[in-house]
Amino acid sequence: MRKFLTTLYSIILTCSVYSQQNKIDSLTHLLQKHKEEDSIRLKLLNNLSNYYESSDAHQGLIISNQAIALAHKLGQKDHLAQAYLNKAYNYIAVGKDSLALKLYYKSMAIYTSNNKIEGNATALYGIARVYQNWSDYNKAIKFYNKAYILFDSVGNTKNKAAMLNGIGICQMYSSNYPKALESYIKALNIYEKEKLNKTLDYANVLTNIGLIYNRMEHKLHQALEFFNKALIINKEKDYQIGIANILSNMANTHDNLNQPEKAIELQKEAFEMYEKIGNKLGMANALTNIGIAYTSIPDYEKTILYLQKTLPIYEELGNKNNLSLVKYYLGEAYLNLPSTKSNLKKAEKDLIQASIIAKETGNLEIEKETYFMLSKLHAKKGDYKSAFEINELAVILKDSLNSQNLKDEIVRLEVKYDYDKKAAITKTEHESKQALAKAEINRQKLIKKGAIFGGSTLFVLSFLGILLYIRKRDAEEQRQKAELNAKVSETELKALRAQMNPHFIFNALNSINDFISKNDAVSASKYLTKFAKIMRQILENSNQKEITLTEDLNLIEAYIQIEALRLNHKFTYTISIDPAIDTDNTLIPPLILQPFIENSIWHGISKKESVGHIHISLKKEDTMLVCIVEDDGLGNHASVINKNQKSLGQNITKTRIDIINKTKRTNGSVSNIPKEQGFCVEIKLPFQLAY
Amino acid sequence: MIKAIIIDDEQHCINAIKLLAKSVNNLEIINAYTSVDEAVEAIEWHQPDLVFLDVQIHDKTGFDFLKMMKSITFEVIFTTAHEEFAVQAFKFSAIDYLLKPIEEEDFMLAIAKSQEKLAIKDFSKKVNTLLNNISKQDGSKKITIPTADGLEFLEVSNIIRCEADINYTTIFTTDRKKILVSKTLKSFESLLSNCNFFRIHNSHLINLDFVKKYTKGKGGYVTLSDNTVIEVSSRKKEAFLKAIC
Repeated sequence: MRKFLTTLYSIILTCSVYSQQNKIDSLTHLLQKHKEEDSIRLKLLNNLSNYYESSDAHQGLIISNQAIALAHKLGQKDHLAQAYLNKAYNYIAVGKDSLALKLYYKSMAIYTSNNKIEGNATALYGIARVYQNWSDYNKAIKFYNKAYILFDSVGNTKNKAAMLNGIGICQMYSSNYPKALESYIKALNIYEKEKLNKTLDYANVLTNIGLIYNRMEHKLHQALEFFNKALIINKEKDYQIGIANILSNMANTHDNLNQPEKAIELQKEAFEMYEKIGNKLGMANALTNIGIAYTSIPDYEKTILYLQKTLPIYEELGNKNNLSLVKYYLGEAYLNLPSTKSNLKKAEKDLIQASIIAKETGNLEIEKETYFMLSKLHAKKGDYKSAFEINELAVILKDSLNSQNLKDEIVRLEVKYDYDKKAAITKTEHESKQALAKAEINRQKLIKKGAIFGGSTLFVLSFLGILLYIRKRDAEEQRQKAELNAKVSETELKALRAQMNPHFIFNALNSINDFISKNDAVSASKYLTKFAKIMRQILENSNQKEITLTEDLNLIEAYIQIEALRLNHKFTYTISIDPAIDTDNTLIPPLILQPFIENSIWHGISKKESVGHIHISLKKEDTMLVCIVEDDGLGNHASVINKNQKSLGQNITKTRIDIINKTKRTNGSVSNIPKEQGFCVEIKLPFQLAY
Repeated sequence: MIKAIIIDDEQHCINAIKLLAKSVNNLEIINAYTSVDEAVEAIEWHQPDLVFLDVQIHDKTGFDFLKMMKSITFEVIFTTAHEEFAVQAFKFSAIDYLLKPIEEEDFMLAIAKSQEKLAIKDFSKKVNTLLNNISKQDGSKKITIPTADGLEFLEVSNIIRCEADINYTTIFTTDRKKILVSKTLKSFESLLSNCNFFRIHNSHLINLDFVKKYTKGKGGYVTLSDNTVIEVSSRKKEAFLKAIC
């Protein structure tokens, strides 16, 4: 089975400054004019190196070196720290993360000693980014959190949102999608509140949400929507690396949508952009994605060709997460090539490496997929024992990634997001009213009233809080309730089917007893063997929810035949089936018609003097299967109602249909159709096909 | 005239078969035996056409009896009350069986079938298949398939898939053979569903061991190792994915 792992994606976290060629040009111009080695030149250098990060990082490194030298010379600590940061950004852009990390720490040391909280937070943020690149997500989240707290303390809400975005990315990489989505949504809320929804930062978060949806089979089109929104913002700002990233991500979605050619085309476009900027990680990621896209064509030779190119880059960058993914796909590609010894050997080597690295980085999804692939490989080699054992491992992992729970959680979060949005609007309205009121209070200088108002605000706020809490709790409760109900209905149905057995057994035993008391051994034996045969079928079928109509009709006929035998062929029967019904492919709950036939035989025909007739007809009407059981006996609907003696079997059947209606949201029914002579019952069931 | 013997350790079962046999014109019960050893001796000089064979006969089984035969020159109908595993083995080997208490119609049908089979005389192969399947419960099972020219013996692990054609089924094997059988796909489904086979579609039963690729879609479709692509019914998608993961 081909399962798409979400392919690689690249995310550049918010940078305070974005590539703008005209700014670079004007700064360069200013620098040429301003040759004095003073703090003005230092500022210019710092700004310039910052701008270069996203367009020409090599040039950026040269400029930041000049800035560092000048800052040392001038003894300007804060600017030195800033210059370190800028150099680190440029190092990251050329893929030299460990050098960047050192600079971040250096910068942080200066900021801390000067008690510059914001600078300190920025450096922490940089450190978090490096750990994230190295796939050490727990450490990265820790640093993001530290930075978040510092940004919060100085009221930098914009960067707070950026930290949430970073945390979300780390959670996403650790396959914790609901948590990641939660972080992203928090970030989006902050941006929207600050009216920053045209910024690149906002676009980044949109991209990341797109990435999560990209991992969900049924949300792919939504993913494309988010990517498109983000792409528009990036194009408006002409942010090249951002455009390249989004193109690459969109390509992956197209791959998941089974459009590999489109994916490869976009990916190559992205690759060219990364190459132009000199972004190694981006280049490697694009190559990886091209390789993966070729597996869906499939052209495994090309896959291997492209993937092999990425290995040295990822090893150089120390990006283990991507390394494990590439190894996994290499393994898959070799496995799909003709099974020569050398191909199998290569596949096994790559897959084992993939599983080890995935385990190291805690990427459960890749680990799981790798085990499935290894299991396949062993099966191909004929080593079924190992194949089975490894498959077990994979299944255990799969359970822990239980997708259903995640989906539920995501739905719940989406609801909450909408709700929070509305709550925020009412809150701002409320706040503006509050401002007016405050002015009034100030004018009147009535402190007492102010206190009352504060109290009532507090009351409103806590009321809102409680409301939110109740909502959340109720949603959870309802989900559990629904699950429970489903289980209960299932059990009830089982119990009802089981009840049919004794009911039927004792009726049959009575009949056999009847033959014996009449001293008719041959008939008793015949009846008993037929009964045994029917009992066997019922036991086989009664633990199944549904059986095919063919099987059920066989059973019904066998039942009618033994009743006919017992009544000494006092009645004939016909069964007519609508030609629109394929009995082999139509499902019906086992023996649902039996109690009505029994009723016709025992309350209608047995009392009749002459030979009776039972007619059973099955029709398809829209989405319903309509079954009619009809006889020309002596019974009539009214008499049964009056005597209040409906059979146990019929009551059980009605309950069964009620439960089916509840669980399948259908409207099956049992209704009596008045008739001059005899019974006529119409049973409507949902029409269900087996295939 | 079909000459038959009964091997069963319970007298009332022997009586029941004798009673049923009375109403069949061309069937003669020569004798009945209540132990395997007795029966083995008697077979030599009776040379019956048909043996009604119980599964459990005191401390021995009907299979022991068959193993003790040098050559098998008779048709066998097993009689059993409920031995689930044995019934499965009979189905695999196309050997007939009757469930006790024996119902009259079933009995008549079995006799009619054995008359046809007596003409083919493929006794020992079928019995060998049965004994092979009984001894290797999970190993390489063989299946007996009645075809237009006689019987075909196939390893289950060599069957890639079965395709329905109304009341016929075509079996596709790893050596690229196509075998047309006049049995419904449903009968193969019930026979093979315990052997990692799955019915993904109204007219397709596949061996899950040969699934190479699954492509997503409404129901999606699978590619098998012989590169045939088969649609998965959307109603079976969930169960199929469960079966394969």
